[in-house]
Amino acid sequence: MSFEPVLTKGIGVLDLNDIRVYEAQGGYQALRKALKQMTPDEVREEVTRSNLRGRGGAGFPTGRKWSFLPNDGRPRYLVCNADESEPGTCNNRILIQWHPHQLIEGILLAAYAIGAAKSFIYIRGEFYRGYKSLMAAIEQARARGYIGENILGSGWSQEIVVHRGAGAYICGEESALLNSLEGKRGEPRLKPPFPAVVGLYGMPTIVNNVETLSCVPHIINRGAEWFASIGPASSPGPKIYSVSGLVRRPGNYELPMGVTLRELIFEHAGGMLPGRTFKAASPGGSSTPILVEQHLDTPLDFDSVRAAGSMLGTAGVIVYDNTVSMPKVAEYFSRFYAGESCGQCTPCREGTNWMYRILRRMQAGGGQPVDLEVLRSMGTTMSGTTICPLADASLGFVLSAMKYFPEEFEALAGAPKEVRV
Amino acid sequence: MSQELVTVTIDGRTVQVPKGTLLVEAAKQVGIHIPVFCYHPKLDPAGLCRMCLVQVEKMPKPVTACTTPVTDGMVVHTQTQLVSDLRKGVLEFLLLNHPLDCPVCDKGGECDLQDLTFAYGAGTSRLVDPKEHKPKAVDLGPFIVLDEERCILCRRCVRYDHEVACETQLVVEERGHHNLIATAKGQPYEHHFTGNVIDLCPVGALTSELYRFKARPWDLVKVPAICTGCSVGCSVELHFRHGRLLRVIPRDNPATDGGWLCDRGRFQYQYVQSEERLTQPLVRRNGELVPVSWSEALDEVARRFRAIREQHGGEALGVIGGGRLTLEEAYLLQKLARAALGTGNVDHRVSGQVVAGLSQFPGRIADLSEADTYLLVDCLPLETAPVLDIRIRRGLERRRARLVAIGSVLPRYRVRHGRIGVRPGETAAVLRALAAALAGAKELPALPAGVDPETIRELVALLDKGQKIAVLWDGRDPATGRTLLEALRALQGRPGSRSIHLLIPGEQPMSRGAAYMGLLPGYLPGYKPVTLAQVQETLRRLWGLRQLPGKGLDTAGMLAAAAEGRLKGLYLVGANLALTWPDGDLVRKALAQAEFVVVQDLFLTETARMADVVLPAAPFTAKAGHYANLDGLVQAVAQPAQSPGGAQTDLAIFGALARTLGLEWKTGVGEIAREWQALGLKVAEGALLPGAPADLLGPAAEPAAAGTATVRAQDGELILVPVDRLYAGGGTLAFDPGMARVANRPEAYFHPEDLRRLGLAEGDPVTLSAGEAAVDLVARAAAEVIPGTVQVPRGLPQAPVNRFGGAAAVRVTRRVAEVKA
Repeated sequence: MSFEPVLTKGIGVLDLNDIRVYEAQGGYQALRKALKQMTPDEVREEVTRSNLRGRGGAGFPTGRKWSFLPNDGRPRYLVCNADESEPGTCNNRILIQWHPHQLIEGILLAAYAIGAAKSFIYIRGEFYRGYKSLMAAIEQARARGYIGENILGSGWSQEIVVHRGAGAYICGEESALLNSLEGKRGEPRLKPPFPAVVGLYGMPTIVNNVETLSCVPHIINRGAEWFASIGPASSPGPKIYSVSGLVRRPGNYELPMGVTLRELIFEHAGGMLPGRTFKAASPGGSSTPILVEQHLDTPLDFDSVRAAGSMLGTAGVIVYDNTVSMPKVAEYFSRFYAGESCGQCTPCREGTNWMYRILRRMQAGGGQPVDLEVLRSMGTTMSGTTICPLADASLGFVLSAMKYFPEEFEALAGAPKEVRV
Repeated sequence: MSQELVTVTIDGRTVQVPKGTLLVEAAKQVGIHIPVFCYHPKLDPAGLCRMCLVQVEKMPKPVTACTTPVTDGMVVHTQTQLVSDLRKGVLEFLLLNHPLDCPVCDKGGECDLQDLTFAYGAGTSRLVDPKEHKPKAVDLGPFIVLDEERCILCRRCVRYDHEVACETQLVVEERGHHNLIATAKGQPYEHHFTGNVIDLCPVGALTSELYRFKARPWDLVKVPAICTGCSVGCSVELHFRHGRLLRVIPRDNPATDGGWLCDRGRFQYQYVQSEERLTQPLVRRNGELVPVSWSEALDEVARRFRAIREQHGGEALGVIGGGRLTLEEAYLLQKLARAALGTGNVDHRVSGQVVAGLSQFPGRIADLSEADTYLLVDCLPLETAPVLDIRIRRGLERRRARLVAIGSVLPRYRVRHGRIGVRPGETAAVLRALAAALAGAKELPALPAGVDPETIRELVALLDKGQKIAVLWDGRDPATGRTLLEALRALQGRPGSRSIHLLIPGEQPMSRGAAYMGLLPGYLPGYKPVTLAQVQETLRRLWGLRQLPGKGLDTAGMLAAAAEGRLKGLYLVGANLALTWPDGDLVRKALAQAEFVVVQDLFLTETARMADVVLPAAPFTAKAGHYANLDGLVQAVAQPAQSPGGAQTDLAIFGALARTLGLEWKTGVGEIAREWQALGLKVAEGALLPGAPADLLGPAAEPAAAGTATVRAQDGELILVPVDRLYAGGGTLAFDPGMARVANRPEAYFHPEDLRRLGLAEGDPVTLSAGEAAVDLVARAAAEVIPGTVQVPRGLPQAPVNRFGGAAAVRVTRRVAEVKA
C-alpha cells in the first residue's frame, strides 16, 4: 500500500513558510470552509468522527477532550503544546519550523470549534528557529486576514500568543505548562480539576499537541472518513515517527499509524548499521519501556504498543544495537530525569536522583548487590505515586532494561559469584 | 462545605461526614491516623510529600488522602502491604540526604519526621552513596534560621507565606533534588508574621534564631497564657526551662489568633528575664533614686499620699494607668483610687485614644474572617493589632472582599482597594459627607480639599453591596467617632439587610477591660455613671465608705492640673507617659511640678526616671487572672508561670498599699470575683464585656468646628502624623535584647513626591522642627503616606514624636553630617 505523506508533504521541497506557497497547496481552505459552511459544533463533530487521538503521548481522543469544556459562560482558552522535549523525539519540531501555517490553521480551527477566547502556543525555548518561523507565519496570516478581528468576514475573531519556554522538560506536562504560561513555577498541578475545567488563569482550557492540531485542517478538508481510513480503526491517521539511535537513516518518517517496528526500522530507517544486530528500541521516547526482538512485529499504534507492555508516547523510536550497554543508557537517561524532576513530590525528587547516583556508581565499578534491590523497589515506590508521570517515565527504560537484560545489570552490581570450596 | 453527608468506609469502619471532607480528616473521625508531612488543616491541600497515599477501591492508583475529598460509598484501605511499602518508601526518600543530626536539632522530640519514621519507617537505610549537602544555618530573616539539609520540601512555609500571610517572599528555588527554600531575590524574610513558619515546619529546618540550641522540648515546662502584646489577646503557650522563658508558641484559638502569632507576640519575651528589670523599689533621696525595701517604699507612698489628701483633699491625687493589667488588677486599682485615696481622678488612657470599644455595632474578631466589606478609618491594623490583618488580607485575597480606607494614615494592601487620604482632623468631614450621602442627601456637606464628592458616592455604592461589613477605627479622634457612628447608623437604615461590626484596636492590650473596670473618670465598674445613686449606694456599702468621690479628671486634665500645681500626687501604673502621651512637654511639666510621683513599672522607663518612688512590677508571666481583649472577650489565665522574684505583681502591690494605708482589704482573686458578683458584673472565661457608651466621645460639636484640619501647613512645611509601628515603643520592647534586630529606627516617612520636592533622598538625615521642638530622623519614602504629610512612629525613645504635641506643621531640614576633626 502506498502512502502519501499528509502532514509532512512538501517539507524539504516547497517553502511552506511562505503563506502564498501554503495557500497554493490548498492552505487555509479548511479554515475558509469551517468559517463559511460549518458551525463550531460541526467542526468538533468532524474531528470526533475522525477518531483523531492526541499525539502528545497519552492518545486521548481529541474530539472527546474538546467536549469536556463546561458551558458556564467563562472564557475558554486553547493552548498548543509545542514544548517538545522528550528525548528521541523531533516530529513537532519539523512541523513548527517547516510547516507553521498548517499548525496555525489547525489552531484556528480548534479555537473555532471550542469557542476559545484566545489561543496560546507554548514553544520550547530552544526552538528558536521554530519560534522565528511561527512569528513570521503569524504575521503573514494576520496580513491575509486569517488572524485578528473578523476573520474572513465571518465575524469570528482570534488571536494567537506565542510564549517561549525557558528550558524545562516538565513544562511539556500540560498543567505545568499552564503554570509556566501564567508566570509561575513550571510544576504540574493536582488533578482533578483538569485543565478543561480549571486551566489557564483558572478558565476552561484545551491543551493539544502540535501534531494533533496539524491534523485538523486535513480532517476538515478531506473528511473524517478519509482520516479514519488510514491505519488501524482504533487509532487512525498519519503519524510522524522520529527514528534515532543506531540505524542507517535516522530521521522523521510519516507513515500510517500502526506501521510495525520492523518495517519502520528495517524498511524506512534503512536497517541496522553494518555488522550490527537489533537489540532493543524505545518506542515512544526515553520514557517508554523498551521493546525487544520478540516485539519487532508490533504495530506502532497506541493500543498495540500498550499490549506489548510499553507506550507509543511521542513515537520517538530510539534503536539500540548489540554494541549498546543497557546500564550505560540507563545511567544516561536517569541523569536526564534527575535533572528535570520539578521536585514537588518526594518519590520523584529524591528517587530520580538516587536512581542516577546508583547507576553512575555502578558504571564506575562501585555497584553492590543492594543496588538492584533498590532499583526494583522503585518500581513500587515511584510508580503511580506522584502528581505527574515523570517519576514513572524515569523508570521506563531502567526497569524494562533490567527485565530484558538482567545479566548486564547484575554484572555491574557485583552480584556475589558462586563460591566453591 | 455542604451539609450533605456522605458515607465512607475506612479500614472497615464506616463514618458519615459532610460532603467535601478530605479523606485524611474523615479518617481522623474514625480514629485512623494517616501520616502526613505537607498537609496542614490551615493550608490548601498540596499533595506533595506523598506520605498519605492510601488505596481506594475502584481507583487504579493509590491516592493522596490529603487532597481527595470523600465521595459516597468510598471504600478506603490504609493498612495494606502496598500502603505500608509506599510509606516506607517516602520515609526512605526523605531520610536519604537528611543529616540525621537529631541529637542537636531543636525539633528533636517534637519532629514529625522522627515520629513518623518511628511509626512507619524501615529500620535501616539502603543508601550506599555519601549524603548530598545543602546550605546550613541560612539566616532567612531576623528571626528565622533555615537548615536546607533538614528540609523535606513539604513547602508548608512557602504555602503559608502565600496563602495565609499573603506575602510572596518565600519561594522554592532550583529544580528537583536541588530544590531550596529561599526568599525571592534573596531579600531578608521580613514581615510581621514570619515566625509562624517555625511551627508549621514539620522538621527542624526552620528554627527560631532566639530559641536555637537552648533546650530539648521534653525539658520544657509549658504553661498556657494570654499574650499581652496588643489588644488581640492571642492564646499562647509559654515554654520555660529552669525558670527562664525560652519560647512562645500559639494555642489555636478561633476567636482571636486563629492559630497564628505576630512576630512581636512570638519573639518578644526576653524582657521578662532582662537584667534591666527592676527588682527592688526605688525611692528618691537627695535627688537620686536609691533601692529600698518594699515596706520602706510602701510606707513612703502611703505617708505622702495621705499627707497630700489631708492637706489638699483627694482631688489633689490622680491615678493613671491600668491598660496593661488583668481585670482583677484594674478593678483593684480604681478601688484603690476611689476608696483608699479618695479621688475620682482615674484614667487608664495613656496615648490619646478615647475609646477602645463601643457598645454600638459590636464586632468580633472572627467577623473579619467572614466580612465581604472592610471599612478602615484612621487605622493600621497591621501595626496596632497585627493578627487582625491576617484575616483582612485573606478576606481581600481569598474571598475577594472589598476594602476602603479613610484617614490621615492609610494601610497598604497588595490587592485593589479604595483609599481616601486626608490631613489629620479631616477624617470626620469625610465621614459626615458619607453619612449624609448614605442618608440620601442630595447636597453633600463640604469635603476636605482633594476629596471628590464622586468618591463618596462610589463609597456608598460599595457599602451598599456589603452583606457583612467590618469597620476598624483607631478610637482616637472623638469627632471622627461620632461621625463614624452617624454614618454607620445611616448605612444600617438603608434598604436591604446587612450586619455591621465595629472593632477598635486598643492602644494598650487591656484598654477595653480597664475601661469596663472603671478606670475612667466618671464611670464606675460596668460603665455605670458615677452619678448614679443606686450604684453609689451599692459601692458605698461594698467598700465601707461614707462618700464616693465624684467624676474626676481624665489623663489630659490630670496632667494639666499637675502642670499648674493643682494636682499634687500622681500614681502612674504601667504608664510611660513621657513617651506615649501625645504632648510630651505637658508630661514633663506635670511630673516636674507634682509634689509626689509614684511610678509602677517593669523597667526604669523615661517616666520612672522622673518619679519619687518607683515600684517594681512583675510581668504577665507572674500573674493569674482574667484579661479582656479588643472585642470584649474575657480570657482566664489559671496560674502564674513564674514567681515574681524581687518585684511584685500589680495585684499584690495594690493590696499591700491598701493595707499600708490602714485598710483591711482582702485582695485575692476570689474576693474580687465576689465584689464583681455583688456589682452584677459577669466576668468569666468566655464572657463578653460590653463596649463603652458613646457618651465617651463627648457631645456633638458644631458641625463646622469638627472635621477641619487640626493644623495648617505653611509653605515648605509638612504636617506631622504620628503613626503606630509594631516595633516602635519604649516599654518592654526597648528592654528586650531579642527585639533589637527589628526595633524601628528613628525614621520619617515621606510621600516620594514630597521627598523629591524637598530635594531629599532616601536615607538622608533630616531634622523635623516646629518652634522649639526638633527631632532628628532619617528620611524614607513610602507611597502610602499622604502628600503634604510626614509620618513618624509613635514612642521611639531616640526620637520622641510627642515633642511636637500631636499633629503639627513641621519644617524639614537636611542635617549636614558632622565633620569629625
